[in-house]
Parts: sequence; structure tokens; C-alpha cells
Amino acid sequence: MTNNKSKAADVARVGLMIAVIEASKLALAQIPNVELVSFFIIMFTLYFGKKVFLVIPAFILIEIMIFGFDIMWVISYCYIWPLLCILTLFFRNKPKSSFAPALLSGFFGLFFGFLCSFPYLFISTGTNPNASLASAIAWWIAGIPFDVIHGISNFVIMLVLYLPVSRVMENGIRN
Amino acid sequence: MKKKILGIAAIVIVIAALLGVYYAFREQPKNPNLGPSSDGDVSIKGKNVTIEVIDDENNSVTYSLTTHAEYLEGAMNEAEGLTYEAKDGMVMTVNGKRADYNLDGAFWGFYVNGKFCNYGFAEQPVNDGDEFRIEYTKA
Repeated sequence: MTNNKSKAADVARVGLMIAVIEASKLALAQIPNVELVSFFIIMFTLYFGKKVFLVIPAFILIEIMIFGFDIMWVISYCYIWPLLCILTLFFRNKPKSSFAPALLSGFFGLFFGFLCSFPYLFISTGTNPNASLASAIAWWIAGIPFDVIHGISNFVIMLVLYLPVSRVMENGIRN
Repeated sequence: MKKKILGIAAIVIVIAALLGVYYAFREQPKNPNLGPSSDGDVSIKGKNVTIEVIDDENNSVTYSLTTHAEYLEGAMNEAEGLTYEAKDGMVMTVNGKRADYNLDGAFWGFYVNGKFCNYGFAEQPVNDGDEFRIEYTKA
């Protein structure tokens, strides 16, 4: 009975996490590369651990339903967000200061475009074998200004919101 | 405190490096209002060509022009002072001089960079630096 209860609670938590991530993403969709997805994935990983790996596929599916299927970003989302979870899992304890998670979030934003460019390496380009690499590099370079905005905004958001949101989550989990 | 300074320094260095890469390798904007571009992009500055007309008395007139025309016909239309008449894709008259094979036993021969053109004047591509010659030729 207790096991069933905890499973039901997990399902509810996962649903809530998806809703929070998606709602926050849509709320900031008008501002290029300023997002709360990284923030919440880091926070949820710190508080719920590996359960966040259940959230990511559902989040990607909802994104596909809203924005349509594009092979490039779908493939990159499939490894980028799990990578952020894995990196967050390296924090053995919840950090007491917001600085370390802010650094993680900031660097993740700065290299977001670089990480997203990997699928372009596998585009078939016919006769020129270097064209895939060239297109991946060109795609990454073209987006660097947005990566810089992404990195700085991720850093600031985590720096500002980590402690207050941590307190709210601590209270929520305790109750 | 030292770790925080190091962390901020690291993030600033990465941002600077990324911006350095961006400004070194980004695609340069091209503004057609700036005139001829230094990288030789003829799509902006146009193609410099000459069209020389040699009539039946060996009189030569050369027209120099800068054109965006894809084919010789377009460049001929743009060449100031050059007139021609064509029939069924064949140029019959240039600058008022007729060279009709059936009537005159002559034709207007088209050359590009000293070689006979492989295409009709409406399909002959125009490249930067091309020297065209339209020569009255007795059959």
C-alpha cells in the first residue's frame, strides 16, 4: 500500500515538474534564449534525483506537440537535457550557496549551441566529407551571440532564484 | 571567495573566447549600397565585360560595361550605343549592318575571350572579365 502511494506521489510529482518546466518555458518564449528550463531541471535534479529522467521525454513530447517535429532539435534535446541532469547529479549534496549551480547553469547556456550543433555532423552532404563539419561549425558560430545571452541569463537566474526556490521546495517536500 | 572569483573569471574568459570566435569567423554582412566589395563578389559589384563589334569593313567599336546580366543578350541590351536585331535566336543586324546568311552569305560570329561561343547569344553566360567579340564573317 505504501509502495503504491509512493508511486502515485511520484507520478504526480513528475506531472507537476513537466507542467512547471513547460509553463515557465512558454512564459519566457518571447525573450530569445532566456529560459527557466535549465533552472528547473537543475533544481528538480537536486531535489528529486534520477526521477527527472522521466520528466525529460515527456517534456520533449509536449514540445513536439506545440512546436512540431524537427529532427535537429529533437535529437539534441534527447541528449542535452539528460546531460544537464547528469552534470547536476555530481552535486552530492544540495549546495548551500547559489554560486555553484549558477556556474553550472551559466556554462550550460554558453555551450548550449555547441552541444546542439552535433546532429549537423551527421547530415549527409554527398561528395564533400568536410561539409558536415563545416555546417555544424557554421551553425554554432552563427548562434554564439545567443549562447552568450543564454549563459549570462542562466547564471543570473540561478544566482537570484536558487535560494528562494530552494526554500519553497524544502517546505513543499517536508509537508 | 577565491573560488567565486575563479568561477566568474572562468565564465568571463569563456564568453570572451566565444565572442572572439564569433567575430573572427562570422559571416560578413554584405551591403549592396557600399559599392564593389573587396572580396570580389560579382553578385554585388557586377561583372565588367567588353563587347567589340567588327563590321564588314573591319571597323571596330568596343563597348565596356558593368552588368549583372546572366547572358550575353542582357549585356548587349545594356551596352549603350549597341543596337541589334535578332530573328529566331539569330542576330541578323548589328549597329544597322545586316549579316543574313541567306541574303548576304555572311553571319555575325560571336566570340568570348578569343574563342567561338558555344551557345547562342541568349544562352551565352557572362562572367566577370569576359571579352566578347561580334564579328561580321563572310561564309
